[in-house]
Amino acid sequence: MGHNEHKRGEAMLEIKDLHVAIDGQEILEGLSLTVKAGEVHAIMGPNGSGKSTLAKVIAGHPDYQVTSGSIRFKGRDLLELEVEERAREGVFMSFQYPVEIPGVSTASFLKAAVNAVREHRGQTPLDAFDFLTEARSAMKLVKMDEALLQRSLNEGFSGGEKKRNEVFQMALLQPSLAVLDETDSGLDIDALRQVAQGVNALRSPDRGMVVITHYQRLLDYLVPDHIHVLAQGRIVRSGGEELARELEEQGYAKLLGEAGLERAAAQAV
Amino acid sequence: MNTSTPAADHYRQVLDRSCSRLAGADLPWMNKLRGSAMERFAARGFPTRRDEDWKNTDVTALGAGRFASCLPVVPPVASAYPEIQDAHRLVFVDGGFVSAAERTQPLPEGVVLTTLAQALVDDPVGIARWLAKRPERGEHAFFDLNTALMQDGMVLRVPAGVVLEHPVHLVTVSTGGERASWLRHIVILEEGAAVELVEDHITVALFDGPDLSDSVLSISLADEAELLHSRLQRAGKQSHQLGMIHVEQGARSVYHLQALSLGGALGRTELRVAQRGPEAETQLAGLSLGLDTQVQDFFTFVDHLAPGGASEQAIRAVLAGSARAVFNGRVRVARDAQGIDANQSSRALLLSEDAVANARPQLEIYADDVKCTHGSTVGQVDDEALFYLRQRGLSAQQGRRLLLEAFTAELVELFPEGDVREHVQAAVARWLRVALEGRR
Repeated sequence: MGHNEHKRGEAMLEIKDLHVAIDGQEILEGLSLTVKAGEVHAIMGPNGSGKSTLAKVIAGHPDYQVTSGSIRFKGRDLLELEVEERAREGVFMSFQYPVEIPGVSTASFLKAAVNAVREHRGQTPLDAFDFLTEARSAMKLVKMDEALLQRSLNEGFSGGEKKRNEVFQMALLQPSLAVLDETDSGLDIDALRQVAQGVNALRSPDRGMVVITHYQRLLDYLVPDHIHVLAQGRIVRSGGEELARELEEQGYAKLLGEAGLERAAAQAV
Repeated sequence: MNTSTPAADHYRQVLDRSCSRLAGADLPWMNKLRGSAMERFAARGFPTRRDEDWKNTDVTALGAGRFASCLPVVPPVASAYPEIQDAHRLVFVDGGFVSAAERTQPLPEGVVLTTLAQALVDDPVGIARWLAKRPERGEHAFFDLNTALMQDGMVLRVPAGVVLEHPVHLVTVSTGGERASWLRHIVILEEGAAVELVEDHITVALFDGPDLSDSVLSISLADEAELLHSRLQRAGKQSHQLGMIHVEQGARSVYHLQALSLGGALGRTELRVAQRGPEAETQLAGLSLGLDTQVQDFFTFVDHLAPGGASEQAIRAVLAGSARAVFNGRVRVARDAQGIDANQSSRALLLSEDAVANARPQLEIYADDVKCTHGSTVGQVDDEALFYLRQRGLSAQQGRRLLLEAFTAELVELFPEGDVREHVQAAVARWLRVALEGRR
């Protein structure tokens, strides 16, 4: 993977005291997080805590303004890069609500995406045959129906098909950092298991992952190295697996109450 | 009665000077037809924005132009003409027929494919009634002047039951130099006949200055006849293109028009359809691409006069610069025309803040058992979709291009497969490159 190589243990993503606003309203209020290569971090939190904002800011969504703080990715200032530059450097975000784009076939879009990334890495572009070969093997990973490749991107896809399509694209693009925004939402238990298996297969010593979820159930299949609880725009607790169990047993309200976040606790019931 | 205005005086002079070279010049009734059309024009003048049907399309500058016609034809190099494999091709340059560019395959027994001038020699009586027809509410300067000044045109008559294997390719070339072309075409399909017609309007700028291409195409479809009509307008910067299409449909006949309109200072395509027989089918797919200060106008009037008919109209526009797209879609359903299914949709994507899209559906329904729908949207490229594409590594430009290709593809795919669709695809791709990257 040339210059994208990153060794286990090196800081891949470093977020420091990040403040983010949308339409003048502050959503992240001093968030800090470090993800090393090879690690999987879960971000949990009640609705409205800023989880999706974090994902979108890492990806570079133009609607979110970073008012202070920094994000470094593989040592570089990520905030200086355009959305597509981040993607080509190896940042991948799995969308909570993948966009439906009528008239754009999944195959032709993905071939363009794969080749944009390859070109950036100084690799030769894939022709139609090689692309299809790679696509087929990536689809197997999430048991995605090959026929979906010829359909318009996400158009009329079921919730499960859309999420499989996201993980399939991640497998194809081989990012250094994957941010999964509520990849479990809207999935039944079988689909959840298959999608989680796909993500597990993509864990690697030179890849970092940030898994954003509201529910603990995804973490039964996708065991993280670290768990963080996000509330009122900040990380209020960090820990290991035991934190997920504590949340499952006691809910967000008690934990947030103990952290002195009465407003968030009241909303989290 | 002879009104005198600068425009009327100019075009009267054009008529006087070119009279002897016009189709049917030795037929007294033709000269009378021309003369009275000229006087109607003189009295009426050019439309203004106070005219309901021209509210959003300003032709003041065009009306002030002093276009000449019937000048000696200078044909461009043969390679300038678009090619469609195996087609029967007729070429008109600045309104004059270029016999050297004609390319026809053997035609089935009884099929007539000729020029208007020749048809007026061979069968003047058969042609007369088509030339004398005047459209309801469709008479305006550009129709009157066409009747007064028609130089030539194409006549196609296909007998009952005959299906033409190869398309008919009608090529109209404008060359600049303040030249006007006034063409009058007639297509008559008898019962059960079927034809593919491709109309190609291009500009080869041999001379400096604007030009005007004004054409009237009268189409008559007998019961169960089918006409698949593609109209490709790829005009030069200073071209003005006015195309009037008048269609009469018999029972269970089918008329499909796929129209691409790009380039030109002004492009206006008027489609007037009268469904006279029951269960007729009409379909229009109109794609406008506008740059700079261009105006692209689709004006339609579908008149459902018999029961069980269907009409489907889809208009799409992509506009950059301060371009304008206009869609006036009038549908009338007569009292006895029950069971009509008439749908209209117009969607425009604006690539700049100064671009404008006007859509005006007008439904007049006098029957009670009908299904009529219309919808119109104007918007920008979807930001969330663009963010998604960029998140996967596509540049903003690549992403926009992909989204615009998808937006136009829906209509492009309605053009017949093969050379025609390829010409359209290439023209759209080239246009998108110019609009998004500023590369000419």
